[in-house]
Amino acid sequence: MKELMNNITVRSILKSCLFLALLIPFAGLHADEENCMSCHQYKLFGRMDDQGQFHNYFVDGEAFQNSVHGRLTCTACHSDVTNIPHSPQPKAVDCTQACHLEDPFSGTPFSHATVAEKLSASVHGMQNTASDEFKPSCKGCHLNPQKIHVESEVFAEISSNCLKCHKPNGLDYAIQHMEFHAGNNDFWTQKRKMLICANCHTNDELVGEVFKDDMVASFMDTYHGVGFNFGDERLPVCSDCHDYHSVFPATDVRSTVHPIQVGQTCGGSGCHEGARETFALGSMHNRYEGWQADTLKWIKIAYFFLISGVIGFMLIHNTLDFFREREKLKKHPLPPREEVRFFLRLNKAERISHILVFVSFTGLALSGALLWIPEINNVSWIPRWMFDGELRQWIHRFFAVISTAVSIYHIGYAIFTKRGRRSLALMIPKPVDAVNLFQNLGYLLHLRPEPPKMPYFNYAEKMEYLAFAWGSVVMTATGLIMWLEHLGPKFWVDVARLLHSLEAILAVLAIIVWHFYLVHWRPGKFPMSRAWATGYISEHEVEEEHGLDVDEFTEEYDA
Amino acid sequence: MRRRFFALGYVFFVLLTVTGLIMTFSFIERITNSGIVDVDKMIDKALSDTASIQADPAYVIENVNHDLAASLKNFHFYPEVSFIQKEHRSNCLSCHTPLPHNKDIKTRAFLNMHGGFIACQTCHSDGKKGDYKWYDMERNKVAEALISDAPLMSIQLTKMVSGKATVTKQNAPEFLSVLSDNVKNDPGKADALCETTYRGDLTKALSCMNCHVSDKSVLDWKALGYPPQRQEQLMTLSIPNVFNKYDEFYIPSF
Repeated sequence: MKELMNNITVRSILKSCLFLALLIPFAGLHADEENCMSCHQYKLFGRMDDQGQFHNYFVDGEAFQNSVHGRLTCTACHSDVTNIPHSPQPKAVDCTQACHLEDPFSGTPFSHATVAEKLSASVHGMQNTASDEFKPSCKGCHLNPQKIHVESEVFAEISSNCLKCHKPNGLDYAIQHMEFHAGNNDFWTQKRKMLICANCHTNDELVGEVFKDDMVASFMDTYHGVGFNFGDERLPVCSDCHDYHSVFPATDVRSTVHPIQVGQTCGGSGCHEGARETFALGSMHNRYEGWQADTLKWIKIAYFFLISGVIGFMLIHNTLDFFREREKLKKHPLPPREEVRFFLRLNKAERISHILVFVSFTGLALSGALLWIPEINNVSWIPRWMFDGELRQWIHRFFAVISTAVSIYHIGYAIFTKRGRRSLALMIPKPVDAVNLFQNLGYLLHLRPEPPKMPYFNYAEKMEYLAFAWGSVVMTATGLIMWLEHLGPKFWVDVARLLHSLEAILAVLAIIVWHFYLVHWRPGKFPMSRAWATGYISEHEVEEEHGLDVDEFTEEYDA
Repeated sequence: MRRRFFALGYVFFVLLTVTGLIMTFSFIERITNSGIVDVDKMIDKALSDTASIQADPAYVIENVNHDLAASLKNFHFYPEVSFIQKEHRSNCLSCHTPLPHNKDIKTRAFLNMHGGFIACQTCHSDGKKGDYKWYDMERNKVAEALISDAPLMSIQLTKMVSGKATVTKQNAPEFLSVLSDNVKNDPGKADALCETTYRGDLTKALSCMNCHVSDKSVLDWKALGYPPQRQEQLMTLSIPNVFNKYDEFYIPSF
């Protein structure tokens, strides 16, 4: 009997513990004291009025209990509901009314009045104008999110410090609420924040009527917008710069994006550390007017013609050359490699430089091109880390440093070495190059029976070298401006960004269409010229491509 | 070694070519579009990522004036009630909304709520005791057992007449053959069609007390698969009594 009693006692204690343990998760949740859920628990509990409007009275009790308002009873917000059926129809909830919760810091009944006052004073506040009907209320943006239980060291430290003075009741909740809004949550993602603003600011009926233009579209054309499309959570969206509730026109001194404030907004947030006031001298949405707009417009026009013209010419030239060369090789096939003499074209230092250039160039092009194709982040076979904004940025800068270092070395090589000085002298364009170009075009068009004899560096190589030198200067200068963007002004950073991207397209396309043709695609060269690895070109290539300066090729390959 | 060295060259050659292609497409896009990003596409994508707060694509957008702003007002987390799949809809929804009761402020929401698991003609019948069964709308046959967590309208309680379920699926061929705009717009013809289809009297309908009062219930809760405790609950519900005893019921103040 005693044993039985002991068992019962032990079992009872265990059951009690289990019961208490089950209660713990709900300790912070409020019971449905008014029994509202006896009716509102049912799905499809609602009606459709004569206008076809869907009135849904169902409440997901479990979700609500776990929401930020889960500690409140229904009538804490729906205070005008006193009878069943609820007649007259309950009014919309007023978020500024004080509820039964006590503010753990002030000890007064809690309400959202302070935030509502900020909203009311902002550009989103009601001003008895026609646009009032489009302005958001609390519920226009806030969705009563699920409570995110943050367990961080910061939370623990804050809690322990606060509890030294404040009452524990509700304090943990308040701190978690602050922690939640401080960014440690996965509810207010950048996408969700953007969606809230974009919901109205991209509305076709409102853009042009209520808003000056589509600010979301102009945002998308900025670096921030591109980053947003990559899902980069570090980059800001609307509310990160314009504030959440105290939103004012940029011309209002209270606005966080007013010229006086924007330096602090961009620099103080930890994003553009060291940003000065001059950083603000530009449009955050790339919406320029006057001479600034003209500058950007003419750069685009100039590069449009430059890219189209240069790449177009290259394509035509190389297409003609391809068919002419193939025709020639059919008549006169290349001799076997074993029977051909080879001459030095690139020495070891030049080959290493070339390898460093093509590795860094490819790295730069790839890491840069990722910015251009936000849609590609949906492509599953491309590793996700490739889209990480910061990693991509530093990969790009790593290759930029290598590329710049090679360029500096090359300048030194061209000045301080005998071979470098000789090559530089031979690289200077001369009238004969223009003559060669026209003569060769005549040959390609079957107007001449033979191609012209060309110098040590022919016109194709000189064009490529000078274009590469020009591109390196532009890309290095504009890249440096973007790297040091916090020094501002932003307008010139935007100019640099535009130049950098357009020049990148020109450079990459030129390499593919021009250089790759000369050393890869050209009949007799495919799959590639081996000069980049061995340093030597064949006797045939010397005669065909540099026939005017055969004497310059003195160092013969000794197998 | 030399082959590997050349292979390295091939890799960079291919990589740069691919990059060039990407840049070419980007350049063309830049030239043809003012912005590089399709904002509508972006918003669609963001919407798909926030599926948990979205309104219903299956029903609401199709039938109700419901937009994103309305879904954002969704403070009580009820988006899933809108997810009434097309294959679960009965033929009644060819003309009526799934929440057809709108007249009596006391009962309309409760009656509409029943539409989630009871076929219209189960209540809108002659009011006599009959054979009631659960009907699987998706498989279009009598369900073997009650499924408690089934999606809305997927399993419907239906009255059986001559061993045949009175509920039929939306767009069922035998119904579509006689349903036309002409019929829809003529109340007399519509009623006649419904009476033929339902094999019942449309002027009569069951009330709360016909099912939820123990000694008068036309339903055999046990036979429908409810456990004893739930049977007891369903036959002693307080809500019908509130409506019967009070014109207006005041919520106690705490």
